[in-house]
Amino acid sequence: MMIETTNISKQYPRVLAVDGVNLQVEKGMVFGLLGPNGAGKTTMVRLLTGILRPSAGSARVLGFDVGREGDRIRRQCGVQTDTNLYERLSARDNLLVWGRLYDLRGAPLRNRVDELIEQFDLTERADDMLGTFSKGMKQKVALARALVHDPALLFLDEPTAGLDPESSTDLLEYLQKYVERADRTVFLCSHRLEEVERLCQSVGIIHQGRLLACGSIAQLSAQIWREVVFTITLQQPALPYAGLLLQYGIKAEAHNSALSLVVQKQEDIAGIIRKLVHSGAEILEAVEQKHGLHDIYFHYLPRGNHELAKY
Amino acid sequence: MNWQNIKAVFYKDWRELLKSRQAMVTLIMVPVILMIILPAGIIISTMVKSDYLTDKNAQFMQYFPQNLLPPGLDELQKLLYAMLVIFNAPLFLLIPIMAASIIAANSFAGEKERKTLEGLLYTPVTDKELVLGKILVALAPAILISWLCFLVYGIMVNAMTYEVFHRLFFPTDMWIVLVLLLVPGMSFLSLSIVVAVSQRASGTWEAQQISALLVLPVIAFLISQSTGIFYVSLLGMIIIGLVILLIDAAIFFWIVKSLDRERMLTKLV
Repeated sequence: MMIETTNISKQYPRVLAVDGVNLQVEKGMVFGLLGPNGAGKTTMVRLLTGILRPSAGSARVLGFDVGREGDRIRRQCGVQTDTNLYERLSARDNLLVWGRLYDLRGAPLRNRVDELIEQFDLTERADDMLGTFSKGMKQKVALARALVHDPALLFLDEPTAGLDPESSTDLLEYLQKYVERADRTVFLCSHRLEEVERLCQSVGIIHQGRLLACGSIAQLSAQIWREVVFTITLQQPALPYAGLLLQYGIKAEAHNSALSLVVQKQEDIAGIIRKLVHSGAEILEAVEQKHGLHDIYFHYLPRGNHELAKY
Repeated sequence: MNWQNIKAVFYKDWRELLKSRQAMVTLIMVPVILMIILPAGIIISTMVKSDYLTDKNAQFMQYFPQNLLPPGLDELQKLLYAMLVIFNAPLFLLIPIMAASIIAANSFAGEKERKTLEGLLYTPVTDKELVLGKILVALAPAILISWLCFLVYGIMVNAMTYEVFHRLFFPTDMWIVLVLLLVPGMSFLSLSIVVAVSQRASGTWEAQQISALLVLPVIAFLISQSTGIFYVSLLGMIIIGLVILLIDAAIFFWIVKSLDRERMLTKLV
């Protein structure tokens, strides 16, 4: 287990930023912590990297206690947050300076920096002052900086915040490549659903410091929606076949040539399709209506509700 | 405490300082003006025989406490000695104060202002290493710049006045105490004020301005030196130097003891 928290809480003078969170992140997993602004995501990153002390509860990251062994955790973690880079230094210098903070020196450091510069397509501008870079390019350098010591665990706090769609797609592609190639554990905080859906195998939803749900998208979906909804598209009008299914006690709604029906289990659909085919229906497609992260998120945080939360 | 980490922080701040044009211009220009242009002007104007200048100089010497001057000097030698050895000593002290406060403001308050500090807090560098690296990056250049100034000043002053003194009259014992005790002592005092102010100041500019208050006692020293109201003897100077170093040591332990990553971070937001 890379991250394991037990009822961890953080009380700021006026706000309870994290409220008794329990979560586990396994090695090699990309975990996404989703929540609106001010939900407690950044505080979680700060707690897990040992730069804030928990007010209650505890956590172990990479096997170390966050309260007592923060510097050992930080040695093996890379963190990308909305903190600024050194604008007066070049992209290369930013990476070199950072590498030294993780005890990298000489040729291994230079080689690693060259490698990152190439991976992130920064070669042409590597020696330009960072202050002259676009926001998207700066974010790439920030990500490269977090990776300079090839960390076992990577924390990303809103990696695409403030980026235009092009740069953010670009950055996500780099991230996806990194995750696939390196088999690294990633803890991603975001309020961008598509980002989390694309990268993460496991998701936590946090609101007002409380972890509302945690698990894979399939698990979360199964917890909320116990039934499975299928849409079957036929070659012919669907209404007669709705009537036919009713004889078997199966309720289906017909709309033009589409049949919409609810089953208890995914496997049940095979029998229904067989019945329809036997009665002469020509089936074009049968699609299970999957609940995406979008549906799950808004199930837990109804629209309009969480926006009122002020931190 | 890991020296590699301290060196890494030092290296980072040093690279950044070299790229800060504003800081570099001040760090070079102020010593050049105070320790080269100004004394060269004094020497040239004193040695040129002009009625206006000699009148002014006579006025200056009339009020100057004669007991501060070594015996056996002629009028021109007295004037040069008074200006170059006594009057310029407090001016010289402004250099370490200025250099240390500019660099420290850049590295402490500046890092907060530019929102780069949080990133550093996520690295394995401990609070102590972070602050030590930053103290060194302000202290080492401030002392080295001052010593370099002292060297250049010494050579220049002796060379330009050799035909008047016919010997090397600089540095005096007082200057050696200045260089060895007061330069490091005042550099550290100056940077520690910046560190304290940086906890509250919102930016480099503010931190630097408040720490400039340290210049006031030095200016008082300058006035008292030149008018003879209050003259610090050699022994007095050594005592002041040692007291400042003691205060420095106390401040240093207080800074290291009061460090807190959590507070550094929450002060940012």
